Amino acid sequence: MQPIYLFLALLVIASLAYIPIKSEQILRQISLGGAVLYTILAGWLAIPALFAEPQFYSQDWWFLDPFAAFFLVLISFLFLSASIVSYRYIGHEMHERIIQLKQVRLYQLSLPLFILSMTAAVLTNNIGVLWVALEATTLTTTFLVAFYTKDASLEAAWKYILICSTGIALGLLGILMFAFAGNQAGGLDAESIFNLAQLREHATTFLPEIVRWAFVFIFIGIGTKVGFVPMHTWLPDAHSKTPSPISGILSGVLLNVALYTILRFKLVADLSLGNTWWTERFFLVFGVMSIVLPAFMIYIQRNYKRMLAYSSIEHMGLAAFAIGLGPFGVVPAMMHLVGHAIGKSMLFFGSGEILMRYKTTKIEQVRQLLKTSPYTAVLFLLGLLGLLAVPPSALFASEFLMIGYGMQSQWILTLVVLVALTIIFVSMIRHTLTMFYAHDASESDASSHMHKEGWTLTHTVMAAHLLLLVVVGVYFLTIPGIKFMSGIVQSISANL
Amino acid sequence: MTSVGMFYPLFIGGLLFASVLIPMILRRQLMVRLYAIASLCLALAMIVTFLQEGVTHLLFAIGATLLIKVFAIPMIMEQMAKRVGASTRLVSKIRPTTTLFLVIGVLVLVSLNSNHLAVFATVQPTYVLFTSISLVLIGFLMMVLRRDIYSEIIGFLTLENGISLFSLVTVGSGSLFVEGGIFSAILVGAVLMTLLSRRICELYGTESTDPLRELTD
Repeated sequence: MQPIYLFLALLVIASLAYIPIKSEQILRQISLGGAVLYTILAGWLAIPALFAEPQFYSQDWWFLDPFAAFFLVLISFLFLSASIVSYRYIGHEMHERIIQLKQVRLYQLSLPLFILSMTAAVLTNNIGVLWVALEATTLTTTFLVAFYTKDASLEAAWKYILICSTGIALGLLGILMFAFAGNQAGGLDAESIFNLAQLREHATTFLPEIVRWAFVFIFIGIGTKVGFVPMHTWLPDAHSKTPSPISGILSGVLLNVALYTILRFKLVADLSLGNTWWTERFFLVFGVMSIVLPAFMIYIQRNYKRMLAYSSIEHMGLAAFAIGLGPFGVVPAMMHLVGHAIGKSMLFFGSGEILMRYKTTKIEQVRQLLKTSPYTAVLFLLGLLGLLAVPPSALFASEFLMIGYGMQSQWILTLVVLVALTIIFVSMIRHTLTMFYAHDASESDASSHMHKEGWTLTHTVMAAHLLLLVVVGVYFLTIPGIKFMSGIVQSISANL
Repeated sequence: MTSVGMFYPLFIGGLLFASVLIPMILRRQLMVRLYAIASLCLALAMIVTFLQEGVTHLLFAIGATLLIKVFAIPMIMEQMAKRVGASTRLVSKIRPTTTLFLVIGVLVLVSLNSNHLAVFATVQPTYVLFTSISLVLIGFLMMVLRRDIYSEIIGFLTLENGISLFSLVTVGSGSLFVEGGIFSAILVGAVLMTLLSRRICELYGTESTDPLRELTD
């Protein structure tokens, strides 16, 4: 099957948001049906490719190697999960008159277009299209960040579009430099200098000085989209202000897609420079910074959605740290991205449930969560433990491998990372337990008037995520699991 | 063809001069017009390149630059600003003369560090590379120094003009599909920023970014 069918399906799903019907429920059903269709198509395309031989030298606009297929599976999984959660979330927001029909339409339009742009970014073989797709991820989600048209949402959306667009513009400068390197090396025509596979094939002939400049711009520019410190400032605002299902996708998969892009260019740079350590230093330095700063920000946090957003920065930092450790580190980094995508989206879905009940994202205003919302609370806690790498979570497998490898190659930095992880562990548990057990003696304590919650669609999705987090975690600790992930990263290994 | 080439430095100079003036202007309409003039100079430089090299793909970039950057974006920005009754007087953290010194500082900095750009020695003429990097930095400077949404948009677009110029002198032009995508992304981005600016103006009653400081840890 050609990727074009995936794009067409998403365009049709997006256009259905504006069919002339006034029932928001039908709109939600259409959107959910669309997500199911996309997942089937994406699975049909991606799953055979996951086990195929790496296809390095495609001349076409699109290519699908195991690495791209791996990300396509992540995107489709989270799209389906978020669409199921959205079905309940948007229905509730409409019922409570928090949003209107036009906002439902905007949501149903933006979400498939957002997925379309991420899919295109993952499958394209053309670096120009890759840039357009990355920029489109920002443009399609800007109004989802400003969804509630409140003052803070507008502020978040403004920072989001301005900082991310500027970052991606710098990324374009890096992309142009890579194309220029191809142009200067000779052997590539005007069309081929934008072809990723061709760039990879001819990388050894590029001038290393140009490639270094190009990689710096790519790393800083697209690293803004990954959320690396200190380019992260937009992320806590945007991720905390979007509707929770979208926060789940933003944290769970958009950051991964941006990192995917950097890794594609890292391979070209590594081949050109004849070593991997030059690019790995960037991952190491920015990775450690992106773990340490969020540790302190999570410690002082008063907002549970912002806490999760800072945790996303930390996890991207961990993935970068693992990549920076050397070629072997890429395997735990990819495992980490899977675990983070499953775990973080689950927690954002849970945060949506908390928000629906308490109408606030402030930790101090959420009281007696375990008593009023036992299903949400228990699932949230279990998901949090998974995210904090408690075994048998997938994140335990990845962090176990990366710390083990880190102690051999970069023990001082690894110790710094361990201290930061300890701070994060204690802080996140403390904030969560505050929401669980703290109570307010005053009459204004809303929790005392709340009815006990029932099992919802969101809880089913959260439970499925939790189960998957454990199953994947156990699989990653087996020899076949490690072999499978090693096969995935073969597509981006320089083998120098 | 040689006579056409004589105009090239003029257009690049015009682009740089207009972009240097932009950060010092505190009147919205004039600032937007200067951006349009800078973009026009960029389009004219592209036309000269097209006449000299005959790369047909450039025709699309020329048309898109004229249509989008010279006409559409300035017009949309002005229409939106008028609709919400935005003030024509803009806010800056520092005075125009100080801004001028900072911009000159940027130009000197780029000039002094041009030896680090020796890897791009094949890019001719060299002043175009100098101009493109200067535009990127001027755009950045403007986004940092100015405290109103319109200046931040124009700062971003100035930065983007620098990247367009860099693209022109390094790789020329990509395929129509990619060029179309890039110009569409720029247009949609500018329109979304303008729509957001309208909402911000309606909500806060000002185009200043000072009220956008609520989200802290």
